[in-house]
Amino acid sequence: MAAGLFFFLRNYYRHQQVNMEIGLIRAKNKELRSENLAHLLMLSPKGDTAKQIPIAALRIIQNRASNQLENDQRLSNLEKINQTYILINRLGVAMLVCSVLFLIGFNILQFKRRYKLSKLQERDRQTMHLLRETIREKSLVQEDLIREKDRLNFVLEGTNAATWEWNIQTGQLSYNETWATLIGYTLEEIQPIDQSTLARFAHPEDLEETNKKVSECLRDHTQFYEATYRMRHKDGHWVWILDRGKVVKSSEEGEPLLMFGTHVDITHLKETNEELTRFASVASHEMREPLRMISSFMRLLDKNYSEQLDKKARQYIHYAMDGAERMSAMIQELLAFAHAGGVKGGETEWIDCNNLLQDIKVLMHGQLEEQEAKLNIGLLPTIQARRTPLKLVFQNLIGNALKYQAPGSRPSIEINASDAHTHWQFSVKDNGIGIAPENREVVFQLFKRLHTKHEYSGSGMGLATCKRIIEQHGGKIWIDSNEGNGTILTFTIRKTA
Amino acid sequence: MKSIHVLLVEDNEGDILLTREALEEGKLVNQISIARDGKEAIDFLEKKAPFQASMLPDLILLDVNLPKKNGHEVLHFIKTTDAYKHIPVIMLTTSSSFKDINNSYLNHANCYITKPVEVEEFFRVVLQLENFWVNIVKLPS
Repeated sequence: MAAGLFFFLRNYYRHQQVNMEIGLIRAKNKELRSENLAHLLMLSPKGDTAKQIPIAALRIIQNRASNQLENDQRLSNLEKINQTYILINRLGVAMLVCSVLFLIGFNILQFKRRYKLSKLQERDRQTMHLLRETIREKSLVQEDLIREKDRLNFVLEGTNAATWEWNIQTGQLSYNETWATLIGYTLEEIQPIDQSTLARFAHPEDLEETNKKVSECLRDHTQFYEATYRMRHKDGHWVWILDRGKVVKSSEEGEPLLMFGTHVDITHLKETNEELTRFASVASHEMREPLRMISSFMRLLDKNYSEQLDKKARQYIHYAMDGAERMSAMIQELLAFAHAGGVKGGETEWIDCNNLLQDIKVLMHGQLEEQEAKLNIGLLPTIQARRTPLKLVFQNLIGNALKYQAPGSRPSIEINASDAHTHWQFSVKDNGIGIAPENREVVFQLFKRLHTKHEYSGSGMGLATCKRIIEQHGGKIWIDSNEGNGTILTFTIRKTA
Repeated sequence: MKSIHVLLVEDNEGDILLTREALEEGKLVNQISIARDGKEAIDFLEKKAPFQASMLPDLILLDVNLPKKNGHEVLHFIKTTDAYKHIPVIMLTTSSSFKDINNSYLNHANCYITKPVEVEEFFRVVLQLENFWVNIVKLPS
């Protein structure tokens, strides 16, 4: 390129020199011609004088003419050279233009390629960035997972929970060390671990029920089950286990694939609970005995010696008997309350609430009739619950709705149910005297009463018992009430109670 | 009129009094003997001191919750002893637990009655019991 340019410039320079020389020669020729012309004019004869032209002058003119001829020859030579230079220069210019065009074209191509490249690079950079981001996020998620897992492990250790994992497809089971520790073994000692491992240690009486619950959970896709059973400890005694399992992975069709669960030793809880129930049961039985004596002999006194007693004495007897009767009712309810929390509530079973409510309606027929009460029952579900306690809840709530009415009012009770995902929700609505907002929590406390026994009689245990039963069924109970417009009592029962 | 002898095995003085009054009201039972715990009941049947002079009863009213030997043990003793197993044993108790009821019948109790809480009801039950076992039923002799 530079050489080309140099060559071109040198050519141009030489061309200019030749041009200049041509100019100079032409000027010289012109000068020679005009000089010769002037000389000839001067020599030409003027008028009639005939004058001889000197030879010297002719020689000068001849010289000039031959110089001119020489110059003309040189000029024609130079002009030929000039033509060549012009040709070369044109070629040079053409080449220059070509090369410039080529350069421009080349550069455009280069630019295009670069542009494309940079685009590609940009895209790559973005991809890389995205990749990095993804990796970073992934690692964050992973970190979170690890942290979560650590936390879970701490919790599991803290709660002394044994865990198991069951691949439902392959049947592969794994337990952790705590699982074995619960029954006094090491994980090593209970090898091999397979689906029969549990059967080796679980109480045969409880196993059937547990298996039923697990297969129900898998069949109904409820995702969760809870069972309690006994397992034989290495020392030979029985350990009460609370087993809770959850489907943690399902196929796209909803078939359960993986189940994870915990075992918790609830022997102590179970014993304490049973102890308490037994205590309440024994205490109330033992208390009922002396009470029966008091009321029996008071009645005999009243019956056999009434004539010998004055009005005041008979009044004393009345109060004593009234007290004894109330206490008797209270003991009865205390017993119900104790049983509501204990194992005596019986096993859960499938209950058609429509039938249950019909039974209760028949049972409470007298009371409903007497108050001319209206009892509307909506469509109710079939649920899994303990029959006797559930019946007691409905009986108590209907009883309350009938009892807490303004004098002379005609009770109207409505019972409905709805599906609340994990739970069934029931509501008992009445047109009674309602409950003030500040009392809506305390009414669930044991022995809590809002009215004197002259206004509305009661032991203060009805709702406390209901609450205990509902909580046993994994549910909640609460009150929505508009004072004067009645009460809406709502409770839930877990679907897999 | 036949002479009926009842053995009442009961530790609660109040119940003894109530049952005695109820039986006396029926005027069908002539003799009521009392044993205040399980061991006394067996001693009474076995004529051990201080019951050397006792006569075998025609009917036994037996409580479940008794000191020393409980009602089930006494029942088992009676029903596995040839000399006494013909005597009808009526379980009369406050317990209404299925365990007590089933155990009693498994040990050949002749009937099981839960004491009514109401005193009038209690009187009525005892009178019916008396009428049934004295007037309707033919007892072994």
